[in-house]
Amino acid sequence: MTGQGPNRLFPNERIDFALAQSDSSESKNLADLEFRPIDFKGTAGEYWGIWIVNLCLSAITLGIYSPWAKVRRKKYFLNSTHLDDVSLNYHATGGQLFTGRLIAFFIIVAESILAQIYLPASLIILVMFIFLLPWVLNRSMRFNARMTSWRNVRFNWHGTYWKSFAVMWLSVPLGVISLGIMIPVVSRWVNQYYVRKHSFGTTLFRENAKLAPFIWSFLTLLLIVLVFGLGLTLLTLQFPETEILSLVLFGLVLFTAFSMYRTICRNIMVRSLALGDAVLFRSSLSPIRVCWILATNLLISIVSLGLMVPWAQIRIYRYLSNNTSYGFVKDANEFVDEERKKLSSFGEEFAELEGLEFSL
Amino acid sequence: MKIQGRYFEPMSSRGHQARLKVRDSFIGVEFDNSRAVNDLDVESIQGGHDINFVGGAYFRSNDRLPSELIDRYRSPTQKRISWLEKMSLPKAAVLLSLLILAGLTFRLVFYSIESIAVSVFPANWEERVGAQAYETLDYLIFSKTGMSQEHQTRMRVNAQRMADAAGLSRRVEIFFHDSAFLGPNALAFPGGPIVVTGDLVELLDDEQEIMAVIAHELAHVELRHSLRQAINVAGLSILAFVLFGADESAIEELAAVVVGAVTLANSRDFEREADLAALDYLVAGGIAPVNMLNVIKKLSEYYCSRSADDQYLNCESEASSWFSTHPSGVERIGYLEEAINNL
Repeated sequence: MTGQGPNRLFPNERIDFALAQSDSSESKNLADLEFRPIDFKGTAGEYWGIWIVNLCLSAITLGIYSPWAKVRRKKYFLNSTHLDDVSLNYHATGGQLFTGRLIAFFIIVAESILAQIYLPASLIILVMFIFLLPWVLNRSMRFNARMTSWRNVRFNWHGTYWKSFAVMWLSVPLGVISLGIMIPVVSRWVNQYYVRKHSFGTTLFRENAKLAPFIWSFLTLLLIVLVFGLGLTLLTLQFPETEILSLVLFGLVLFTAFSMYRTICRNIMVRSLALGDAVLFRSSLSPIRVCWILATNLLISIVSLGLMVPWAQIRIYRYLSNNTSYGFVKDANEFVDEERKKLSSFGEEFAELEGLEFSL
Repeated sequence: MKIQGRYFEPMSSRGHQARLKVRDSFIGVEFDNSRAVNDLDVESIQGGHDINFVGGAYFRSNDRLPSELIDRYRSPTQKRISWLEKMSLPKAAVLLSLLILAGLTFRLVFYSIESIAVSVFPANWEERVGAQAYETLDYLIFSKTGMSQEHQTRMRVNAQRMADAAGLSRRVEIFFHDSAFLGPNALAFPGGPIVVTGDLVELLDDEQEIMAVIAHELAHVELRHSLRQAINVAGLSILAFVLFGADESAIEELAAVVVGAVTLANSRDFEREADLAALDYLVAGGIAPVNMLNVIKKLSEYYCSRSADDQYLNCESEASSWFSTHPSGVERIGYLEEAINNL
């Protein structure tokens, strides 16, 4: 399918949509911009039914159903997510994901057998994987983006091999080798790459997040962790029997600091995010609230032996959605009409895509 | 049937007020200016409002689409799944029971498959894996031992005599190496060989106790513990993937932790099995089984003295930690004493 759709769809007559009614207006004043939260209409009750059926069918079919289960789950979440009263759509099929998983499965099995028969082969395969995975990442990100649409326009991913390679294999070593000093730089780099390489139709997402907020938030949280760490060390030295308790408390402090940092990074990125010059975004997540939701979700999931997992997933997704808002700088219809002109010559090729699953 | 909504051209997000016309197998849209698009093919209906057409056009209804329209474009399987997903208490109870039953069946089937897989797995493949692994570790962490050739040969001959007396089916090579990485230790590779470190020989300083260590390692090889562990891990991972692979959530992480915990529990069971089998081999070889007990006592003492501040080794604890590959020293001494008394 290469942009032939319109001719196929209008066999009898050609509609001049330029004449069809549509309201356009001047770009809005930024100060008057109205931000609306992303509306998530999913409920835990509805999702529980989908979740348990997915689990049962996956178990009965020895996992063969799981790609279809994943599609069902993604469709539920995306179809329940509304922007400007229009929900997101997901177009991948279970068959596509099944093919992707089958390919991945055979590669892993072949690698395991080869490594068992001839051990040095595993080193060669490891090197091959290092170079193969960025390519897989790009294909997978592109597949996932292209399978998601809003108002009939699909998202896209434009990551390049070597940039994905760098993000994938250099980000973590940079953070570790620098003893954490480079974490703010790495966080900004990875987030920027993720955002800037996504597009809605042909319009790229933009962001201009400064480095300073990343550094300040990291240093603040690092200070808090150090103060807690010092306090707990002094406590253990004074009362050696509290060693285990101190370790558990320190683990909690680390978990909280990590979750808070991720949330702050998300706020920084989203607040500087724009889709072309048409849409701006805001994020008002409370880091403490996110930590509370994540911690209680984990606790309730364990206590309920996993039965409350659907409720936990809906709870965090709703919080993230409701605290992310968007505002149209241009009228939505005007913006999308420009999209259409660009997309007509875009020539979408879906046939080449497989259902590889991998993400940053 | 006419449904009010917005129609979007292929690859455009400009919506136009339109009415969806549905009549028997015909589906099309008409606009206020009396123009129309006819003979559309439905690709998917999503979220109760959205119709994606083949070729890229899209219709979003103002109100929820009638269920008879949604059902028309669902396969019989999709209709059944959709019925199941509409939850009620009896349905939830049935599905949960089914899930538990499936889990138990997998576990049962898996254990049966494990013993069959072990019996049909060619011994020479296992030996090749062991030889390859030994070669790699020989290059990476083993070095030449300071023990005399005469000492090494004597222990090899004694070990072979014990293995023959115990009627062991495999002839296993025994190597002595120094290793700063391993310290006083011994290990058995799948299908053999066995490696005993010079540090261990020095620590025990008693040939009969070294024979007890070799008996323990011979039991690992004879009972094919490495292969059974590999099959266990593979099977459990597949089971976890089947049950939890449908979901991307924290439960996947929990599943990984459970697989790890069960694997470690298996490892502890294998160690216990090897300890007890070693007693039989020692008796068959005319060596006092109490040597096995002495080895465990010496090793426990050695590791506890080296890691007095390390809480994870549970030196003083009677129970084994969930995160241990071996039972605790106290536990091993307990069941060995009991077994020796019953011999």
